[in-house]
Amino acid sequence: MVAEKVFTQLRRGTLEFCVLALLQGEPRYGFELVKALGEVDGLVTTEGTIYPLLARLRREGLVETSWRESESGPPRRYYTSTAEGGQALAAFTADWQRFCASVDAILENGRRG
Amino acid sequence: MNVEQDNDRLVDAYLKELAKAAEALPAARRTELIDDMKAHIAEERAAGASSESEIRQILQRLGDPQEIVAAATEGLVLVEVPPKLRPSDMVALALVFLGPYLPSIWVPMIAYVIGIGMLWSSNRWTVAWKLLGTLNWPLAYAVLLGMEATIQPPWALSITVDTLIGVALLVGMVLAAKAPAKVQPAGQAS
Repeated sequence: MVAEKVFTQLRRGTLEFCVLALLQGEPRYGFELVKALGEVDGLVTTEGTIYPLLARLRREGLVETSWRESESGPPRRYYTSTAEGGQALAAFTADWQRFCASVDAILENGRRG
Repeated sequence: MNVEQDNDRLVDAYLKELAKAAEALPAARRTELIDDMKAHIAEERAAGASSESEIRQILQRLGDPQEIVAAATEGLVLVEVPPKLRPSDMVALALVFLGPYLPSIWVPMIAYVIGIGMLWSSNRWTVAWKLLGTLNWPLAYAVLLGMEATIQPPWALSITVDTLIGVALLVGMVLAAKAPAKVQPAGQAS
């Protein structure tokens, strides 16, 4: 893959906001969240790293957790975004769109030469 | 049945590797991470992963334990927890190295045994150093007996050799003591 390093960094930087985005609606449990992220092409390369990420988001107060019974097996830890999480996501989304637009514009111009 | 056991073994090996990689994490984070991984694997298996290749795939998708732990250490710095020698370690050294010189027979014995116990329960030395520390008394004794049997040295020389062995080992152990590396939030490092 081209520029593998760049995409590793990009993934690392953006993944937490993808996680926050998925946690805006219904609470999700870890496994469910990991699978949802895994279905998106090229976003998650190592599923295991999402759990430390979730733990950090919780420490930073961007998500909160609760335990719920499951029909099968032990209780599950559910994650949901806090208000702070929603604000952080909104701020990132605005910056990200501007950033993407800028990069796209430069790449387009460069191609036309 | 057999496949189940093989799968359990694969999962256990993976979790063991993860636990080892996570040793430097603060205890609460380490426990949470390992619990999360266990729960994830259990969910995968409950969802129908049963063949060996499926289990291997699950573990591969989860990723290299080192990489997962690296993700958990973001925002943390590696710091050596001071001091190298805690008071209990110094007491252990004193008992092991000076205990044998205490008066009477039982006092040195008891001091030595307590010292050895403290030495082995400390996490400041490698097994090799603990072994050396433990062998200090018998080793010095053996050297003295050997000298006695061969060159029959004067008493002063025997004492000097005995002391030198003890002091050399003691200095070695003080220098070799190492506090276990721990990671903690960057802000709390100093």
